[in-house]
Amino acid sequence: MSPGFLDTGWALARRTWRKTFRRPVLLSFSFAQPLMWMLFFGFLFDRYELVEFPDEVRYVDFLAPGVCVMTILFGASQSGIGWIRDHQVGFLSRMLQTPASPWAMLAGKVLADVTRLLVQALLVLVLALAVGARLAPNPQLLGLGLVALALFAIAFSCLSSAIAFLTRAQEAMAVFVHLVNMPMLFTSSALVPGKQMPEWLARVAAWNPLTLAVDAWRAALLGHGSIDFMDLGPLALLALALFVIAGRAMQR
Amino acid sequence: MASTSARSSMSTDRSERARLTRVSLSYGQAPGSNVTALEQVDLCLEAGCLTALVGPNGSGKSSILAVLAGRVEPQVGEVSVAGLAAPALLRGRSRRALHAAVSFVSQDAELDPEMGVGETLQLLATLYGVRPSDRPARVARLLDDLDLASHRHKRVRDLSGGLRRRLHIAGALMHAPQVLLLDEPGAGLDDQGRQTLWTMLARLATSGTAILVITHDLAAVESHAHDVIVMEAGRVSQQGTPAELAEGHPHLAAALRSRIGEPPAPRPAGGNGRRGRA
Repeated sequence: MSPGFLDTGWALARRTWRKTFRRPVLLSFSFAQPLMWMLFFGFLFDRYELVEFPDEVRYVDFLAPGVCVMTILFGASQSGIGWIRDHQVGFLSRMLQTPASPWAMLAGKVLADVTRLLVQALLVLVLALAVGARLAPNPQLLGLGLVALALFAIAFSCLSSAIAFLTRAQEAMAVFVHLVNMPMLFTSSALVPGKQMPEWLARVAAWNPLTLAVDAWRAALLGHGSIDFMDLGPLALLALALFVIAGRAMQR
Repeated sequence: MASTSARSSMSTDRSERARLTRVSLSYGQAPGSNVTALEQVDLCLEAGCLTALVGPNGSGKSSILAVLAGRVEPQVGEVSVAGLAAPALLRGRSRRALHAAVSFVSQDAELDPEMGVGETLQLLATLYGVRPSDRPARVARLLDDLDLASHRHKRVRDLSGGLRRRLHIAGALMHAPQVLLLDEPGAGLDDQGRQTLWTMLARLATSGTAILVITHDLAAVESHAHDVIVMEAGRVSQQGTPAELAEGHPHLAAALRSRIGEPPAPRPAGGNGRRGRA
């Protein structure tokens, strides 16, 4: 009997979740950075005027959805480290020597990472409320906003996994995290609205996947702006393309 | 004679499960830096046959296993395993079919130290396609067979080297493979662990598995192997049953023992004992 795709994927997801829960300390560290962003940036730019938003929206309110997506970006970019550990102890090779589909294994690991990242993003939202952010969620857009977050998490978990499979070195992952995360963050609408950026930066930000996810999530949480299903198309395509690249890299 | 009893316990199904035909393999790409690992090697593995692969370090034993497991493609010759040609070049479904038919136990225990013993086997049971209803019994059976039942709830990182090795072997037996390749499976095991291992390999052979095992354990070879292949400098230098090799080559056992790094056993005074006779 050959192993089924869902059975394999679910087994890998459960393995990843179990390993995550066995290291709760590491999980708790992941909230320190968003909290610092919220406190330092939130209060530092408290008087920053948001021209395209109503007066009652303060900078910390504007920042909260951005920090949620930033948490996903930083968390997703670490996804590949799990694969590198598996490679170092030989267990990746062991799993790939079974008749199970590598695509299913990748999908299961990504599913586990994405659900963890979504929960982390929602907990960051609670932190944001605790430090004084006020939200005015639009219930009709919350579902689409969550889909945008999930697609963004899939895309960057897969990118990180692809880098891990191609380099198989922890050092390369560290370089990747530093090389990608900060430029991604500062060329997006996570910290500053696109309309208040220099024109050239606004053009870059418009193509940044982080902006697509942040704008969708911000529209859902602040009730300002709109998204529709078609806005998620580029994120969905990116997630699919990076999943295929990671899957091929895994089987090299 | 031990090897005769081993042969008499062989499965009656002697169909071919793997074959190397005039296989040559070399490593290294820079001109002048090539290292020849295998040269014109012919080999056939039959169902129900436990074949021991012996020889000094660097004689090509591990390369043979790597070729059969589909990890390396030889530059010259033909490879067929479980009816699949050129296993190293297989991709997608064909490669997965190879993995369903062949199990390879490497020298290093390829395990996740953060996982539990039972958890590791459960995961491998899923990845090998064991039916959900059969998984608990299959895992329990392997834990019993390899004396791991009392360690079921431990983490892999808390196991000794020998126990890790046993767990690694248990994982490879999860799906009852047609062809089982083992690279020094007894290394790091105590006497009882080695005895358990060889008894289990003999039982697997009886049930029809074709087994090729690299070993330095000559006593186990004499007791349990049906065939012996002696490697030297990338070539097959001798091949046959332990008894045939012993009868046809009076000094083979001593030579074999020295090649695999053991001192020659002293001949019993006035007798022609099993070890000395070869």
